[in-house]
Amino acid sequence: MIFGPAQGKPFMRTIAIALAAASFSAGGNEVMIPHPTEVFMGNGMKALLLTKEDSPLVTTLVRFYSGSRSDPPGKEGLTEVCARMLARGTKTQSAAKIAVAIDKLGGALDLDADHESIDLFLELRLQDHEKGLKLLSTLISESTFPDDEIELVIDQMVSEIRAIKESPSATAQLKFRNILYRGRGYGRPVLGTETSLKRLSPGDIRDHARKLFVPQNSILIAAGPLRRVEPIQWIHASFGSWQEEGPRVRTEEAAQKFEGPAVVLIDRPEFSQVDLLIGYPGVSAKSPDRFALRLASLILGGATSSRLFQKLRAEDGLSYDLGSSMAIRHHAGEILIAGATRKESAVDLIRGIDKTISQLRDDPPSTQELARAKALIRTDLAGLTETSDHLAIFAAELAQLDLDSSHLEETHRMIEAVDTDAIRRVVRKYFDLKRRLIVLVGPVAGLREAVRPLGRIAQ
Amino acid sequence: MNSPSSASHRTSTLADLAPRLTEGFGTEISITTARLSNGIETVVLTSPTAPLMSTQLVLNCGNRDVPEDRGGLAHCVEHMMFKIPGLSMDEEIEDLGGSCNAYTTQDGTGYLTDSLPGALDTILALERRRFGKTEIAPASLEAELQVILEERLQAVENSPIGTVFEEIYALAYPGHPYGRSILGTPADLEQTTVEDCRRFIASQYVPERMALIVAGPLVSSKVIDLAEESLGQLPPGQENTVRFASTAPSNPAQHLSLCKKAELSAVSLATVVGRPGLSEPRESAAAELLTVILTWGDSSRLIRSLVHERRIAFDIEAGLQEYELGSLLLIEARSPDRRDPSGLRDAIQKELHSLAEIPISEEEIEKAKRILAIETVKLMRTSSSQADLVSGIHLLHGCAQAGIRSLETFLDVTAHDIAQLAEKVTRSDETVCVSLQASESE
Repeated sequence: MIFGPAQGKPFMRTIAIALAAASFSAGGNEVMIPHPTEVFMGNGMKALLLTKEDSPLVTTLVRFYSGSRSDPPGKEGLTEVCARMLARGTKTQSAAKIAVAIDKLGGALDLDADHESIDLFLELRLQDHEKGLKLLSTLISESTFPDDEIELVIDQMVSEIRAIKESPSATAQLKFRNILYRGRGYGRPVLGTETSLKRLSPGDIRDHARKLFVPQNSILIAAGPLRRVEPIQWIHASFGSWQEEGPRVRTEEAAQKFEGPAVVLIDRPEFSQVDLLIGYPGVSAKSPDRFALRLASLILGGATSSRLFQKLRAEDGLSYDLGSSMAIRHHAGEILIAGATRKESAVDLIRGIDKTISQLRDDPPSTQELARAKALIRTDLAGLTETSDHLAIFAAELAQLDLDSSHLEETHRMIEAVDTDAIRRVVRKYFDLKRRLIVLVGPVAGLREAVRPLGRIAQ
Repeated sequence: MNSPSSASHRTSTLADLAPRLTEGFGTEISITTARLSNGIETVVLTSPTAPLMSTQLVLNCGNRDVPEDRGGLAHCVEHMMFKIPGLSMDEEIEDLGGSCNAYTTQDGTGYLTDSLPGALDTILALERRRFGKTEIAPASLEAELQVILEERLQAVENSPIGTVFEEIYALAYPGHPYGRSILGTPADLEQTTVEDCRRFIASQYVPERMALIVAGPLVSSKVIDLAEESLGQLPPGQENTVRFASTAPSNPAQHLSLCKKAELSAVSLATVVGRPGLSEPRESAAAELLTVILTWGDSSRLIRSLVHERRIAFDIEAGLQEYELGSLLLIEARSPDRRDPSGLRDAIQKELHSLAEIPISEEEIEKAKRILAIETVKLMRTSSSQADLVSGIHLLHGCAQAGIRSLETFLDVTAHDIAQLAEKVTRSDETVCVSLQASESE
């Protein structure tokens, strides 16, 4: 990457988004997203500043809009390696010196990739914010991706992949996504596999990084007590002259290829429980059904008063950690029900979950259940403004989805508008037994015949 | 109705109690303490702009207060407090958009809620009902014991590291309640009865053992009035139970090797520090700084040396588990070398020796103090983490204000203090170790 002289004066524009568009009332309390200041720089990078005067720290988040969905088939883990390598050596600093520089500021630099994006996340005292911005810009624009550090990063990731194998729930989730999105981006493991990591050459990594880390593909969010300093000038001084041209990473569309129903059995006799994951294809981040489905998931198993928790845990004692959740991705999604139980009660737990879903499909939730789920979401939304890091992550998500902070009010309005008919409609539409995938991990030998009626046995 | 005298309220700010820790962070939290008429200590942390509120009702009774032949009873009772007949805490609190949970530690038990601020009066009224009843239904207990068995399978037996964790406690605290599993063993759980639970609640769940912590955008006097109207009406305890109070023992060095199906081998080293009456709390503060120096960030000693330079560990973390009768300094590492973790164990011990022998630089100490200050301030950012922090302080110190003052004790720690502690940790008669050799099969 080239970090050359600034090309002319950066173009700056400050847009004030109306305060009323970013607030709603929750339980009598007004919840507000701070008025963001939007800064456009001449190199294509955008910055959003969120002032939160009661925050003791400043959060800085640089997000690149490409995640591991962009890994080429067979080279899974490539994006994650690129992200980690940002702290492993620049033109002027070794990995050890970078580590000292970060630790001296007292901050923790998190480098994290997921299927959608790469985040560099740093939280510092206000007086160190300017130094933090300079450090981030150096890492992004001057990283050299040294061979010996690539080897270390890959060794680390291989160990992490092995550690995941010790977790039955993580194993089940990886397998679930792998089958649901077979051969497509969301089905690839972010960390890659031991085999795919061995295939990566230093050239692959440098080429991919050159396409990933470009200003047009990024946004910077700063959130904290910024009124007391001059963040716009600091951001321009650190990132305004960063120039990078060239091809960008291409990310394929994320169509789900899954045809169910299916059951996957992963026999791990060393575990004392069977971890089970029952899932269905869900909705993407802009689907109009996401509001009703989120409420349905809460009523089914998203809280301790939910139907699954009350019946199968509190009443029947079948599982300790049992619940439903939704993964809402930018272009797809999943509905997940997860739990763990002894081998002898695994089939009972599956039947119990099926019966609970069937009841929700046939009988709409009570007015009280729906009101409770809405109240839980109001509290969740209020929590988005609690700290500078919550705010920064929320703002980055909105920006990547081309939404602004008025989305918070829209979410609130749409949630309030959901009625019991809408819940029944989405439950019937999405909890479709023909599209169900079950993954069982643990001592499953002997369960094959018992689960065969639930779907074809898949690998 | 009695009411707590306003003269007994004490209000300070976090900046007053820990001025050096909070300098430059602009935190605006006021802290009011009061004692309700039945003895319950109440602490209100007010942050005017917080969007959420948290409560914790903390009891000074935990795993250490359980009879030796009734392992896991404190944790079992914690579960049963969500199954009081005629009272559905889950539904009532979730109706308000809130959530509730609980935890059991060696020293105490905590019941917590997170919600929007307007829910406080309902939550306190619910807690009053919950702690004013002691009914345990036999069928409920039977189902909940199954849930706890599943919890144990998940946390301990399904996890190589869970097994190591349980063994290191047994080794570090021999013959002491802290060495016993909080979850209890399957044999313990099998013999737990309704009568055990009732007796435990009657003797331990009494106002004299309780503290209420509330954090959020609240008016402290109103919170204290609401607390008095609700929890302040709980009757005093009938039995005067004496807590187990023996200081954690000094341990003979021991090493346990486990062989288990796993993907990575593991080493766990532990030393009891900060025993009351000795050098505590300075030793505890030195231990906190030592954990930062050893494993916080890529430039820390063990990560730089063992992960990046020698590449014999893939993950390594030092931490301080704080307990009233003696805390545990733990160093846990995973090695990609499946067969023999002894090289990793020796390397960690060698690094600890070097800490005792070569003085730590002022720069290293300053860096660690800066990191610890930021991490402590982070714990004050949300209502929920404030309530967590002060509940932990209450269990350790008994008094919230004094405990909050002690948060900045680490700023007084010197290189000499850390070298002394490192010397203790490396003494062969003070440190216990559990190694896990990863095998292909069970």
